[in-house]
Amino acid sequence: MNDDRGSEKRKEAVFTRRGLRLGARLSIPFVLGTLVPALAVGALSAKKGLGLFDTLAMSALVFGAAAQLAALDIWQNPWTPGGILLVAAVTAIVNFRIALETASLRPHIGRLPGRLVYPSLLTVTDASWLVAIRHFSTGGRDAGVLAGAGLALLGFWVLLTLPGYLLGTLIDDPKTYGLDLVMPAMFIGMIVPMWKGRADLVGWGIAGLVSIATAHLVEGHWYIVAGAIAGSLAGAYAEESRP
Amino acid sequence: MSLDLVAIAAMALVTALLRAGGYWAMRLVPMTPRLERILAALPGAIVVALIAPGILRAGLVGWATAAATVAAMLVLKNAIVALVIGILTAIALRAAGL
Repeated sequence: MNDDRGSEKRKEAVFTRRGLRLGARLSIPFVLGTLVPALAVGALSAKKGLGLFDTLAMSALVFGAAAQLAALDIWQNPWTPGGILLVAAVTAIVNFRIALETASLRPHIGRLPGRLVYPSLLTVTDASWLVAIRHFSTGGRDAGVLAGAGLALLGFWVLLTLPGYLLGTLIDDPKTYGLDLVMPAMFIGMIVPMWKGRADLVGWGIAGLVSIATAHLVEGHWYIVAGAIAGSLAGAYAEESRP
Repeated sequence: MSLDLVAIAAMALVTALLRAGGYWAMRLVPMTPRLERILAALPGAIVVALIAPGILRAGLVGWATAAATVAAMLVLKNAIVALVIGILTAIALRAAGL
C-alpha cells in the first residue's frame, strides 16, 4: 500500500468498539426518517405478494428505500430472465450514488486493512455514510463510526419493515404531518455544519441546478448521480481557481 | 417455487458491488491533490442533488421548510431541533392552506 502519496499529513484512521457505539448513537435521529419509507416498503411488498421471509430478506440484503420501492414497483410474477435483469438494472441505477459515497470515504479510511473496511462498506446507506463523513470532516478518524451507524440503521430498517408488511399502508399521503420533508430536513441539518465557504456555494449550487434539471428531463433516479458528479467537479474547480 | 428470492439475490449482489466498488475503484487511480479535492467536494454535492428536486416539488412549503431548517441549524447548531422546527414549519404552512 504505497499509493497514498500526498496524504501523509492525514491522521491515521482507526477502528474501535467505541467508534461502533458512537456511530450507532449518531444514527438514532435518522430512525425517524427511516420509519415512513420502511412502512411503505413493507406495505408494498405485501401488496405485490411477497412472502414475509422474502420481504425481510430484501430489506436485510438490499437495505435501501429508494431501490426497494423502485424494484417493487416493477415486481413480476411469474418471473422471466428479462424481468430479473430489469430489476437488477433498476437497482443499479437507483443505488449508483452509493458507489460515489463510498468513493468519497477512500481518503479517510483508505489505509485500514480491507478485512475491516469491506464488511463495513456493505452496510453503507445515505444516512450512515453522512454520519461517518461528518465524523471524518470534523477531525474524527474512527472507521467504527461507519460500521456502527450502518449496522444500527440496518437493524431498524429490517425491524420497521415488519409493521408495514403486517398492517399495510398506515398513512396514505406522505404529505400528512410533513412526512415527505422529514428526510430532506434531516439531510439539511447534517450538511449545514459541513459548509466550508465560498467554494461550496459553487459546488452545491451546481449540484442543485443539475439535479433539478435532470429530474425534469430524465425519467428515474439519474438526477442524483448527475447532480453529484457535476457539483463535485464544479466545487473542486472553484477551490482550485480561488485567488 | 417463486423466483422472488432470485430477484432479491440479484438486487443484493448489484448493491453490494456498488457499495464496495466505489471505494475499491479509487485505488485504481492515483490519489492526486485534484482527485482529493473532487472527493472532498462530493459529499455536499451528493446531499444537495439528493434533496433538491424533492424540495422543489414541495413548492413554497418545501423552500420555507428548507430555509427554516438551515436558519435553525445556524442559530441552534442542533440537527434534531432543526429538523423539528423545519417539520413544524411544513405542518403549519400546510394547515394554513399553502
